[in-house]
Amino acid sequence: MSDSDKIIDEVVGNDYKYGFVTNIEQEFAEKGLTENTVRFISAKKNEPEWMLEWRLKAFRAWEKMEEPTWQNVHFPKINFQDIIYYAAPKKKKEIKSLDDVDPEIRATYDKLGIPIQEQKLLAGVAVDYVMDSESVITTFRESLKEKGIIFCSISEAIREHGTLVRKYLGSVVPQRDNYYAALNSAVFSDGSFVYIPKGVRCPMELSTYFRINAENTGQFERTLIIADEGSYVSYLEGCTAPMRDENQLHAAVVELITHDNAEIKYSTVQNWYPGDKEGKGGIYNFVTKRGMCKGVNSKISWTQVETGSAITWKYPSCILKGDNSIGEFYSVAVTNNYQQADTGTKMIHIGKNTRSRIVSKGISAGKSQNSYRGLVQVHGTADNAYNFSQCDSLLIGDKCGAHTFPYLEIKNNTGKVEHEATTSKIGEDLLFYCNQRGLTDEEAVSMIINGYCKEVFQHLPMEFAVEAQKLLSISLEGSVG
Amino acid sequence: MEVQKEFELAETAFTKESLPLRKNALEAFEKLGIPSMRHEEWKYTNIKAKLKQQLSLTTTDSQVNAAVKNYIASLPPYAFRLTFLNGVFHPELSIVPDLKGVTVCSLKEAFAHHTTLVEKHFGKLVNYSEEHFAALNTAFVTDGAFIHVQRNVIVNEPIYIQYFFTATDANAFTQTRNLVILEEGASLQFAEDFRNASNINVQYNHVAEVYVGKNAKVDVAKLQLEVSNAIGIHTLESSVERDGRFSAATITFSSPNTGTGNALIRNNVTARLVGENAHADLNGLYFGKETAHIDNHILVDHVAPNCTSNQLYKGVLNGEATGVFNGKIFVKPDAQKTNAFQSSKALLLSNEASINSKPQLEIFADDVKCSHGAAIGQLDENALFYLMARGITKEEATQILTYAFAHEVVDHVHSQPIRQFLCDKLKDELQLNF
Amino acid sequence: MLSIKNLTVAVNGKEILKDFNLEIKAGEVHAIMGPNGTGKSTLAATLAGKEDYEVLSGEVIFKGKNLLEMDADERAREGVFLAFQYPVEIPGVSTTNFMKAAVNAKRKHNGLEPLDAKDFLKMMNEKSQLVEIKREFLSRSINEGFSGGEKKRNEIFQMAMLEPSLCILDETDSGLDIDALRIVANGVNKLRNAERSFLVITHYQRLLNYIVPDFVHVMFGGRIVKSGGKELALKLEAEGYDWVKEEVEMI
Repeated sequence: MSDSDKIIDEVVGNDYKYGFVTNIEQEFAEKGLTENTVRFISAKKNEPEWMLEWRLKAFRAWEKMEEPTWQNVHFPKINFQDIIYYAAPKKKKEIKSLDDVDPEIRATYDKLGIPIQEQKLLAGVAVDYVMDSESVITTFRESLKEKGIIFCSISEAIREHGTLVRKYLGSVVPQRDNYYAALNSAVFSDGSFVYIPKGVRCPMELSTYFRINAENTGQFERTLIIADEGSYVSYLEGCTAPMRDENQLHAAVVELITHDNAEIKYSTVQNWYPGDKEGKGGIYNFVTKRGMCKGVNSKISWTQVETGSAITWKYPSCILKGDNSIGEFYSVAVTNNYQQADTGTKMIHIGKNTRSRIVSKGISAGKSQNSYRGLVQVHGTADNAYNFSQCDSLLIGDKCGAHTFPYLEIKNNTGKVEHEATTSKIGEDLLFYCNQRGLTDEEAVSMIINGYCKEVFQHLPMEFAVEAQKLLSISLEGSVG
Repeated sequence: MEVQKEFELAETAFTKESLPLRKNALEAFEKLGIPSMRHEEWKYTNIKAKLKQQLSLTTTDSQVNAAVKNYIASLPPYAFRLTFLNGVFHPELSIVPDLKGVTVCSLKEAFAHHTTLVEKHFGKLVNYSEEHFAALNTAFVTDGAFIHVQRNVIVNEPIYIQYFFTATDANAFTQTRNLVILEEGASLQFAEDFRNASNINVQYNHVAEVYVGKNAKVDVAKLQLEVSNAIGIHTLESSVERDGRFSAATITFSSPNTGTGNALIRNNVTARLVGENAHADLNGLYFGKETAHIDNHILVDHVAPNCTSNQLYKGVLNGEATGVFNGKIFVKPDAQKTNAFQSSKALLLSNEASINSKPQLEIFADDVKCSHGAAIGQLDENALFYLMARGITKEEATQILTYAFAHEVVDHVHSQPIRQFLCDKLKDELQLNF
Repeated sequence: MLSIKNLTVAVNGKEILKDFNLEIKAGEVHAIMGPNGTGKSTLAATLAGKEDYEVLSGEVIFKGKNLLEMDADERAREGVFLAFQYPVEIPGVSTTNFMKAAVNAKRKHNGLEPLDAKDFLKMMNEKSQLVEIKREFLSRSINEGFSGGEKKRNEIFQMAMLEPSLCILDETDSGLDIDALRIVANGVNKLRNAERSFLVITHYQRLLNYIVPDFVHVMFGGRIVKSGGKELALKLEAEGYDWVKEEVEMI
């Protein structure tokens, strides 16, 4: 075993610290997926008839669809009849205040370092806590309500704000968009809903914390964020799951809509359980995230730090429909051990003077495979469109792979599209230089990686950026090449 | 297409003994068929729709016509050339080199007289069990050029391999093939030149296999200069051994339409660096006009450590032309210390022109330096303005800047006579006289 | 301060340093000269603890401790500083952040609290004046896009920040124009004191006009073949290395 292997081993030895299970009473749907499962979920949530119909339409479409195979990841075929599609902490009574939350659940979130308590609110973040299929509680909604901002679970929104949901749900990601989106549309159980009214700048970061707890379940959350004319919101999403030997499926859908002059900033720190060192267990993270810059001068910005999941398959995208709209994608994807990631973005330029920027930083270590897949499409209508993409890969160790698949489809001659990609490694010379200044290998690697990812981190809200840096060190510490 | 029946009738380069290889290739093709756009490698090129429904693989019509004669007369007096009409070798139109240590002949002749060499190399570089057109070609190849250069022999003059099409049968789908073998320390430059000398839209499928031995050097120029009325599929596969150097320049000009305008050129160029310290240069320049569709798929496969490669592709698209660029760099697990670079640039000069570009890196070794850059846009407005401020018309300024853009690729052609020829052609194309 | 005894070092199985001996006392400046390929840079890299440099025999005692038993980062924290001949670039990491990490790693090693932002900035300001480095320069990614002279100045700046006991300068002068050389040398001279020793490796006598050594050694074939005062350097400059070679070969 070479020195570098030893260091990799030591560091990877760091256990996934979010891998515990919470013992709470839960309610489950029966295993498997039939039309009855969809009806069961809908009924459980007291949904209106139109919602059930919407779900059934998706279910029928899904039944006829086939799983995609084009992505650069490999896994045994999923048995979709062997999954529980609904699991939720059993509610003892209606939750009206923080004191009503089950102490076990509160303890869980405390342990995860995101306590459900007022201090968090003072820190300026309103949080929606989702465990398995149900939203547990949403903090600080009253003060948001004063500004006309709606921030609640999507189940509640379907009941309370039906008109809004009905208008926008599926407008960016249609039910039959892709296999997993169709599945989600049929069985999604909860998630967050945000509406920012005209001219309102949301005064605090909105955040959802997703937690998978139950065994053999899939998590299918649905998020819908609408920024009305001239509004602004910054939204954060975090996620963890217990360590289990079986793979668990997470197939979420996120839809963002910006009207004229509105802006949504969406940040994700994804830390689902990645599986153990031998590649056993871990979450399959098959997610559809898409934003529509519907109005003129609107802007959608995706920032993601992906360190978890056994397999990640997601492409947060922007449809730049409004003239002068802007799409951004900043991503750090880290894979170690046997993790596989196929992630990137799509920037669809339809409106005039639309601009997009892609910065993707992939880091592969161990025996992992890391792919960037991106599409930049400039339609004939998109005069003066501009795109710049930068896709860098960093390899640590000689058993991993880095792949870049950028697709550039340009049908307009007035724009400009530029793409750059590089591949590099953390070399002996670089490490020796840092050692010579008194830094250990671990300190050196952590510093080099943070430098490498800086361009992405600076787009994360402060609090998240610190968390992301720590997470990166944990995922990679010592995996020196 | 009744391939089985055609298979029996086709007159090919093979001897009877090589039938098993043909049969394997035929079986592979029957399984593969003509690819649809659902196939990732054909995502942007609808070859199925462009090729005729009825394909004739047995045409042997090889009339010399006035267009061929005129063209040959107009050529600079190249030292060596092999001329093929509709895939049939014409010795009377050829100047075959007679040099010590060099074998040059038609593939048909090679099958008959240099059997051991041919059998050792033919069909070993192309993957006909997976590549549709390589399979078809392997089963039906009519003829082509065979070049073998012995150890340490240096061929100073370029060899032109000319493929003319004079067919009158619009269903004809001509299958030609070159096999080039360089032993250790040998050096060769050759061009594959394709011309449609008929009045119809022709279809052809060409394959070349090039073996670059240890410390050997090969320069290839692929010239596709009058292809506006052709559907041409080109495959160039090379393997480069230790210290070997392989360089290929693919130049595609779609000149004015005379046929149906159903022009489609597809190039698959691969360099496989199998020995340490090997080097590959893959360059390309394409000019698309009217409804031309030009598709370049290139791959540098780094198998051995310490190898280097460069790719430079530039395209200029006008009218309703479409361009496709797919450049791959693979770095296999053992290929440490690889240095691989790729740059692809395209100019869109009209609003109906479009380009689909996919520069792709797949890296399995950590101690490597790889990068690619792709840029799509139009001519620099400041530069245009600068020229116009000196009194040059916008049209001429556009041509000058396009020439400057394109010239970099021509400059990478190693063979001086071929480079000069291309330079002149480029100026003609842009109607420049300086 | 530093005592090297019978040191033999191989790189990729090839012996480069052979039975090398050198004694450096606190406050002394030693210059090592010699033609290319005689093992000067190998000596520097070996002292700093670079992997791939295999010590076959001999010992190196630094401030009473066995240097060869320590990893490179430990040696640095103990006070060995190497100014690199080819400083590396670290994209995205500013010199400021890099130094903050390094200075605090050393402080921790010495049982001190990390410097707070104010004290650290004060220190940066002081030390950057030594080599005439501008503030904005320090917020740029380390060595990325720096000129040769800027890189070398940055090395001396880092030397000043880390306050080492033993400074090894590996051909710090090569590739520098006279102005840059003067700035670098001035920086070094300001850092000279009774506790700090220097090992200056150079190919050219020119540097020694600015950094005046106490001792000059000539290296040849992996060992020191001649030692003397600063006048030895002048003789080498005037007469080249051939006469040394001849002397060696006669023995």
